[in-house]
Amino acid sequence: MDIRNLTISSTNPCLLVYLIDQSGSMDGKFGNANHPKAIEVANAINETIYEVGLRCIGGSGEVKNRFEIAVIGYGKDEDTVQSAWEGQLKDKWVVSIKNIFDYPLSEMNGKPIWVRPYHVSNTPMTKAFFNARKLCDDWINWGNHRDCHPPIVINITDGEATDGGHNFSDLLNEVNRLKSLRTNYGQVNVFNIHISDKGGDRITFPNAVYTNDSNQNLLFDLSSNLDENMVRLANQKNYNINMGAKGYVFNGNAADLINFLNIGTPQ
Amino acid sequence: MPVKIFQLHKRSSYTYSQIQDKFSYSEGLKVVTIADGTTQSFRSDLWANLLTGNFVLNPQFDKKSFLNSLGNSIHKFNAIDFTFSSNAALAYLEKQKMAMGATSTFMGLKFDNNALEIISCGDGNIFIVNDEAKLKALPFSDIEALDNNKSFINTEKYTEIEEEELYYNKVALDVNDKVIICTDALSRLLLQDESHLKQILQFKNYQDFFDFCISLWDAKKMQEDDITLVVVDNPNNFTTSTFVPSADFEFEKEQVYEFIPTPINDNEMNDYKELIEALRKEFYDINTKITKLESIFKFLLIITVINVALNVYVSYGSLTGISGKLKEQLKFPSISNPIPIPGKPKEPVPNTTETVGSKTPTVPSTNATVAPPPPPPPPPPTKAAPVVTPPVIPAVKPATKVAPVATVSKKDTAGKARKRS
Repeated sequence: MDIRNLTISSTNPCLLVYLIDQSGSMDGKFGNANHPKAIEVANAINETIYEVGLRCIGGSGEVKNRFEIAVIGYGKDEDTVQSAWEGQLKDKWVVSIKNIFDYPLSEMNGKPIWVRPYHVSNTPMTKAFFNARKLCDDWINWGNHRDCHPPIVINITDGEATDGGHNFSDLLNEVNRLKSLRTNYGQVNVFNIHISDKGGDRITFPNAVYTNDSNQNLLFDLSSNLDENMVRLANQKNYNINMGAKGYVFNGNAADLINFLNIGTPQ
Repeated sequence: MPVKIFQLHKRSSYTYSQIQDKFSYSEGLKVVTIADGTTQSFRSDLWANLLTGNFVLNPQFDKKSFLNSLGNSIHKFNAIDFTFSSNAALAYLEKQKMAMGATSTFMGLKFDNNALEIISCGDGNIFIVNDEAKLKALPFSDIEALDNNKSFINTEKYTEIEEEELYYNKVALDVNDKVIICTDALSRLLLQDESHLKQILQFKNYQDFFDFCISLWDAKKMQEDDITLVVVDNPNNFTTSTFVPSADFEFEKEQVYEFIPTPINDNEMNDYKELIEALRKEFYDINTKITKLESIFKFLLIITVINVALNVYVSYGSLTGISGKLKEQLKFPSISNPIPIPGKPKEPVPNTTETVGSKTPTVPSTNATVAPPPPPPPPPPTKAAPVVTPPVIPAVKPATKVAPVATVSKKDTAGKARKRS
């Protein structure tokens, strides 16, 4: 089926799964900024939810359930993965965009927020991907979701998994299993945003990475290729990328994060 | 019915009142306009309505004049007193959306003396056909061109619209030509599959149009969007008929089921990890055993190779005389007969350093100047197996002078080896 003929709507929604690294290392400064990486990530997620909301609000002010969103945090407690929703949405894994706007957690400068920053323990990334796979598998097999846009999983992290196994084989296997899930419009997309406390050397949507940084190579390898539609969207946002580019950003700033997420969010 | 205008809202909008496509026409001016308000912008339905309505009142086909005329529509739009949601999060969203403006595509057409004048911005399209086939598709002749066009008229950015973003054309029409005008979803379908053009020309009523849209939506062949279709059968007779859903028509609201995932069992992940760990441990155990076996095999192999090498060396040496050297290297020191001969008194151990002329019977040392015993006869010449000469122990004669017990001295052996070579 041609994805260009697919409109994401309340009858054919799309699942977005965000995996947020909440491990202790997220306390470090983000790039050249003065705030921690954890705050940058929380801001980016809140901004993205808001952007998705803008795409779903109807002419008469009602929010249509075009997207369902999961935000999974890992590293808030030792070896633990949990839903990052708080307040009224606490303990829910997947929430429709309408319910998300019905129950914001708080507001900051008049703007609603849903996720707070945390930086606590270790990095059970494999476990987070395991949870994402279970969610995606359930979601795809629910109702008419096989006729919907494939889920998009976006992992935002600053480093390496502490449960990746020997040579990260556990992590690789888990991500490959997640990528093998599919709807009638294609396979699940896995994207990675690798944030770092190092300045410079920003890489966005590369076709290859040339580095000795094993984490960087690993996260690049874990990322899906951007599909044709996403490449088109990225180029519309003035990114110069080609087919075969991967959904991977290293050392991107906040604007890159949000642009990347918007690209990952199909129109 | 020379001019037929059809509309259907997308199913997710439920009622026709929610449609964001708008149209307007003037039979007197022979003008018709359509506009597609974008779903994601703020009150685009109102904006599309203003655009079409104002154009029909004051049609402008010159690009510059058209852009100037937009100011009036924008003024009216900004004068609307909008109300916002009581939900603070939603109200914030609405205000942000309003700040980004309302967006719509637009297409205006005028039929005049067998000619068609067009001004357009965005991805609407026109198909000029006769009873035989499609003659022209304007502004876009293929789907790629249509998809690549991203022009809109936005209330906040209308001053940024370049004239190049507008399409203008004036084309001649033949008496039998018919004109089909449509918004993007149907345009895309018709560019992909021209066979639907004939079907569209056969539409007699609303039901024909409705069934056409529903079947294509169900078959996923046409994007589910608001659909506007204008069919001009006879441009010279501009009498209009509109076919839209009745006021009480409503698409069935789909049951809203909240997706609830299967509870994620943390133990499941742990079980899975434990299984992996067990398999890994098993693998390492097997690997360790294999490594040990490998070491043993390597050791045995080395021993075997050394053994073979020695045999080869010895065999080769016996043929070439080198074996003598080997024998010399391997030879044990001279051994005295430790077994005393019965009936003979025990002789003292000979002093190998005894000098010549000593009255004490001695065993001559190897350095003694006494004449050496005659060398043993040379071995029979043979090239077969190496011949190892056993040490000869001569019989001890009952005399005051004792013959040497050693059979071959080092010197003698060396001499023999030299002789052979």
